[in-house]
Amino acid sequence: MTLPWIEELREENWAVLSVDRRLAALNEMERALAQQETRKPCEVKGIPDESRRIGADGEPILRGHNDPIEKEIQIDPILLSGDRPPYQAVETYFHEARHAYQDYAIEHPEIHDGPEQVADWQKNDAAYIGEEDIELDFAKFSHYRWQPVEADANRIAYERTEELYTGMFQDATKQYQDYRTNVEKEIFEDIDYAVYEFETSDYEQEARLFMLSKHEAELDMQKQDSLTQTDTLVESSDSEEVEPGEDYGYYRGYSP
Amino acid sequence: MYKINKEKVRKILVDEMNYTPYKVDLLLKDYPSLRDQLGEAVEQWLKDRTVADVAVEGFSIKDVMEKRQVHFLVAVKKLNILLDKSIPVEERDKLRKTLSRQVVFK
Repeated sequence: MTLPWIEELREENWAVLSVDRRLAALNEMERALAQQETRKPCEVKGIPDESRRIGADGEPILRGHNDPIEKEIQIDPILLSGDRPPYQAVETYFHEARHAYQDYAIEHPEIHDGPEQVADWQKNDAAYIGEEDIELDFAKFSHYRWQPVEADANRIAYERTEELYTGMFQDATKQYQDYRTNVEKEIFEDIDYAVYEFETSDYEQEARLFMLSKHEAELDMQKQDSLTQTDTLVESSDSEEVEPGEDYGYYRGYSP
Repeated sequence: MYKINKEKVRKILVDEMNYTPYKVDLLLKDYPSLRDQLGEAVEQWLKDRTVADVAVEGFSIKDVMEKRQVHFLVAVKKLNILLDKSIPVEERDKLRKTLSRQVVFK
């Protein structure tokens, strides 16, 4: 796959653009990428105020979000604003765009080279390890971070950002170098933390197995729910006599 | 040492805060006995859901909730580990390192 050349995403061009024009550039990237991936493009926009989560340091706790129902990729407005260079916004976009691709591949597995990976994505989509799981310590942060869909999205976003800025734009600025150093530090810390939480260096497999067990548990719960019955004892409509020991006829309706 | 009233806490988490029951049950299943200052914080939370300004080794409950994006009771559980001298020093050091790290979702 060749990344499209979107001039406005170069750091020196991004610097002079308004937020709207920055979003327009990301939308142009999305249209081109979606076409290459044979999927419908999402609309790239800011996370609405009521859904934003900002830490005490003023940085977003939720950097981006893929909404497959509304077909939107949302980026926290802080990443699009003011003097910020484009890198974090672009990498976040690539991350969420990868989720859009994963959703598409689940519906059309023939487009992805790796049926086992799509099978994992499909299960992960049904048994996503999210914020409530972490909030209650049902799952560790590393289960979220390294679950198949997130590990893949992070990896692809990293590679594409590097390809765009180092490969295509040949951005040799200190700004980009500092950004890349921080990202790699973050990855290293995520790995270190995962090894600590899981007590194994095979953290991706550990997260995958946890996801699969969540998937199994949720399938079991769905089966139990679908078997919830309303027992309605219905006597036979004719007046046939029932001999002692015979059962009455039952009508069983299944409630959802 | 302070033992939480699991029934009371479960009722709050499920009925009042709408958390998923089986996840709440897992949280409470092996919930440890707490050191006194953390026990007092839990008592206050049970009364009025406020988070006491309690810190352990410089980590406040609120900080841990914010940085690790965890519920009050999970933050208290983690800080309780720092106070447990039976847990090896390296384990507590690792926990300290992670408690100050902001989690980020994408």
